[in-house]
Amino acid sequence: MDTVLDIIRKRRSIRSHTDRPIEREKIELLIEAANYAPSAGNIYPWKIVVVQDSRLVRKIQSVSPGMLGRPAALIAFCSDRQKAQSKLGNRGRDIFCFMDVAHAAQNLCILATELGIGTCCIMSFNREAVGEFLEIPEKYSADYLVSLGYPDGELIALEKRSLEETVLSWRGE
Amino acid sequence: MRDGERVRRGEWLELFCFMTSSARGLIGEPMLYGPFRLVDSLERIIDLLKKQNLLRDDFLKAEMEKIKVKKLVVVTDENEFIAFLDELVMDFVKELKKELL
Repeated sequence: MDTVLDIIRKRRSIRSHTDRPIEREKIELLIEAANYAPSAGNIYPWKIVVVQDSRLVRKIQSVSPGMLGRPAALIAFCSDRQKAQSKLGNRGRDIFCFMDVAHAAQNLCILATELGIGTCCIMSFNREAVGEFLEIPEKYSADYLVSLGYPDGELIALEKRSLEETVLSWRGE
Repeated sequence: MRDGERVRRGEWLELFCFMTSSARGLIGEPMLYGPFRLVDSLERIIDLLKKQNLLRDDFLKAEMEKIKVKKLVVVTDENEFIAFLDELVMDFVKELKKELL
């Protein structure tokens, strides 16, 4: 059985997909994994929009240049920055909010890898346009997209930085 | 408008959304994304022309396949991506050289 580290090592940004749909129960598990991520002040200023309608996925893709392949589904992380600001001030609105979303997205991607689902986190998209297609309420902004799809083709082996390259200093040993 | 025409119009609008949102997004994105979006657009234009039976040109179809395969090297190897762009330019230049304008 794979350990968490094995799964983390297997994760890739997947940009080529089969047309197999993603099962609803798997998406529900992914959302649960996202919810177990930490959140500054425990406020969870984000919500998720799930998109499985293939026509809507395509329309969102047309305003998301960073989204490649033909994903079967999308997760849009939408933040309520005012909520973050009201509890945590400007740093909450400008920094913690995005960190919370990033933590949640990473949890989601790791579980997706375990479930055999490919993910790709996307920042290159037009927020206003995505908001328009998804009819996101004004107080939320679409801040991060994660595409989902079963990978098509072989995964490319990646070389990651060594321990020496990664650690700036190691004090106290 | 008939359904077929509407689908074709939708496909072009999809492409134009891609190009306009790329143009807007590139204002804040890494410099190398500019050339990447341009060749990605080129691939999409050729693909759409082919899909709508507006193109019967083996050279362009081959270039589209080449872009599809090689464009993603932008995320792993900058020098290889630049070499790919050089190759692409010369492919088109050699083809244009044969043409009568």
